[in-house]
Amino acid sequence: MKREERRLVRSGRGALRVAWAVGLGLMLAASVMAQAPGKITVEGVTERLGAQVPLDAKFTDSQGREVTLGQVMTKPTVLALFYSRCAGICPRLLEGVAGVVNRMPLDPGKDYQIISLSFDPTDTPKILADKKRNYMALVKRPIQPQDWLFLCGDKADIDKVTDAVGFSYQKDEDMYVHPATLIVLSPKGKVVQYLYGVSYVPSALQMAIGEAAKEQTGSRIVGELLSCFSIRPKGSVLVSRVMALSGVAVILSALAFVAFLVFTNPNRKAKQEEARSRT
Amino acid sequence: MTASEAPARLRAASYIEDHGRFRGLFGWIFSTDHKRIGILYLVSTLFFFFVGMSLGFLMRLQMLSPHGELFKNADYYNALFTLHGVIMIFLFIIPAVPGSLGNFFMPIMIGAKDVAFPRLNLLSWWLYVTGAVIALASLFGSGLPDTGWTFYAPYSLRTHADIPMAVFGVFVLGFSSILTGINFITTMHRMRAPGMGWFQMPLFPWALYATSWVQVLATPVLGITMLLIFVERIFHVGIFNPAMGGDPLLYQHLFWMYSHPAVYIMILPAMGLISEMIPTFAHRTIFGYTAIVWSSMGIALLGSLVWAHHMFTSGLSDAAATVFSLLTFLVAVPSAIKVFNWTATLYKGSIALEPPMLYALSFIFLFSVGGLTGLILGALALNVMLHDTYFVVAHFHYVIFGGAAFAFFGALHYWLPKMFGRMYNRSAAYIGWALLFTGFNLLYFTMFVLGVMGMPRRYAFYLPRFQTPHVIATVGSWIMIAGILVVFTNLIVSVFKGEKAGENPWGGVTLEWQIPSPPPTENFLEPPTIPEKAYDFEGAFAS
Repeated sequence: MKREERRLVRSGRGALRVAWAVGLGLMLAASVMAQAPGKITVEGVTERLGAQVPLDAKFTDSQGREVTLGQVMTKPTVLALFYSRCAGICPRLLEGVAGVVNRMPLDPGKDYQIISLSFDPTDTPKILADKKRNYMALVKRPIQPQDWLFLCGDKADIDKVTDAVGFSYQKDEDMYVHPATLIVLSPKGKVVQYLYGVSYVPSALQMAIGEAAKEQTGSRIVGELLSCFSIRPKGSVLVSRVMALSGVAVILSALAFVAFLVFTNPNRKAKQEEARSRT
Repeated sequence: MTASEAPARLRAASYIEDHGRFRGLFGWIFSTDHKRIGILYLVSTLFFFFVGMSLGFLMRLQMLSPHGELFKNADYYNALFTLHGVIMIFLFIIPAVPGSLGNFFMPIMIGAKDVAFPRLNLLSWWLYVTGAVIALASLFGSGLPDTGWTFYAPYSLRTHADIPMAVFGVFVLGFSSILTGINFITTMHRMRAPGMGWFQMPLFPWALYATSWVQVLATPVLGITMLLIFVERIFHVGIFNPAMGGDPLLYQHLFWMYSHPAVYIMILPAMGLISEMIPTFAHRTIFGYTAIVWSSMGIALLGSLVWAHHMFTSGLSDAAATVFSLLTFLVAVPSAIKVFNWTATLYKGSIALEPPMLYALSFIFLFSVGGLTGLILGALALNVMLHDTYFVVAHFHYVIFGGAAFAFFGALHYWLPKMFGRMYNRSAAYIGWALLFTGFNLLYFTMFVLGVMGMPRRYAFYLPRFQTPHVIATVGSWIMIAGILVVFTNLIVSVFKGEKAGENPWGGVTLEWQIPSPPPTENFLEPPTIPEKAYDFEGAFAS
């Protein structure tokens, strides 16, 4: 009898070990499978340091003048890709640009210039002129209108530029899913550096502009990528339910664990029996 | 102790002599003795600490000149700080204290002969090693690692896509801590010696109890996240990826729901260590025992509820942001309770400035600097100026290194004589501490200055105007590393060649000081006498 029990226990342990190994193996396999090489576009930026932006891409500025990138780019350039209807990250991106211009020891117009390029083909010079007025007002130092250009254009020209700098955006109903980044270009239109997020360290941008002025290519700087997208709670109901259920499950199992520890404690039983025998 | 008991004690084999079923190395890596497993964790976490330290040394060397002393290519620097962060956080600071000192001392301090599930305990160590290998392998999946320590965040910047494996690695590591957590909780519920009530338990076990709950409750979130990532990547269901109709905010919630409490997994056990050392070297009962116990539980509870303060910039609603920042400020209350109680314990104490005490006092100072600069970073207006500068790096190192790691080093000086029965050279310990403390402040305080000057973090090169402070910081790093080398050479030499330490070299009153050093396999040769109060120095001296 005892030997049989022992065998049972042993085979139980064996099964447990096999289950462990299989479980771990499955998870490892899943993690390797999930590595799927397919490019995930939402991450938004594929750094193309040293790449050339198309200087012949044609755009319209906020005064309605037709220009090519080559014509307007005469200095190290800070390129901010945005679109005017964006209610998410773009306003903060452009505020961040104004903020760093104020705090940087370099002079806009002398040491560098800024181009805000809209990737929404429906943007018009008139809308851009409004935006330009707003954001120029945030700059608290001398700046000329030609030092911060707002450009729009058609999809073909926009895509020439976004492809060259590795910036991917996607139409989502009538808005866009897109990342937030500043791209520093050299006077000849080479990609020098990417700065992520919406708040920039002045000396970091200063360094990149310095490299751009010398036509050097900068290096990849690790940063936190922010993406802009519209939240549709409808689509994530399932996920929230899964989350809520797992949350409840975790808390219930924790409570069950505590109850088990407290109520089946042999010491507690012994104490209770002791108390009972005393009465 | 009477004379007749002494020979019995001498006869009992210590855990070091008693190798169990296997001999040599196998006697260690397959041992289920909590003390041997504690040593396994100690050796492996310290190994990773030294790897991480060497990487940090190279980073500082690179910063010696504006154009990079070592590399002209920033990719190598990116790899250095990514590895430094991942190794130090996931392979050293999270597992170090619970894994090594927790395993070794918690059962002894509550009068138990082992943890509740010794085999599970061994499995935890093996999972830790496996997780370490997977996590490090994932970093090298495609080229040099370049993500920073949040390497398992898919929507932080990545040019390649080996996130599932990184998350899997962190999950396996997390699983190891869940098992340790369950083990510790059960041990403290079930295996306390007769007479050891909850509120007679020393404060280090209490701190581990609080930590264990955080581990058990927070880590499953990481597992759920991992499963969701697998579902998304393999079955192409949009969960986190906005391009597929998912919600990246959800990922951020899940990521921080684990990663923020992880900070408390690092600091809570360290606070427990300080609560042990201060009464022993002040020769005085701890001030506000109950308050410290509840503040540990309070930190564990509140710390689990504040994850979203990392997400203020990601479009959280105003109501949510207000609740989360209120909760964040509330966490400061239990932390402050601890600091005040420690200092109150010192008041009118008879303080012996032994090496462990120096570390405990340094902890209070450095942790306070770290905590207060955290408030500066929390203030929105200043955050704009200091965001992504060296200020953040300095703050983090003051809290984690000056806090958790200093407590750990102090506790090694406190308990190593118990673990191996041998005392280190005290003069060397003082010299090591002085070098470490000086170097630490020279290195990281200069980083505060650099941050205020506007030096961005994560840059391999910098503008010439930052050079002087960078040189000072690098020299500081040399002094600090020299200190660490002195400290560990001294400790390691003592393990093999130190003088016999005796049972109770410091005059401690918790249970571990009642048994021989090194402890026998089953810890207690006779049932321990449980003191009425955990830190009753008057009672101890009266008898």
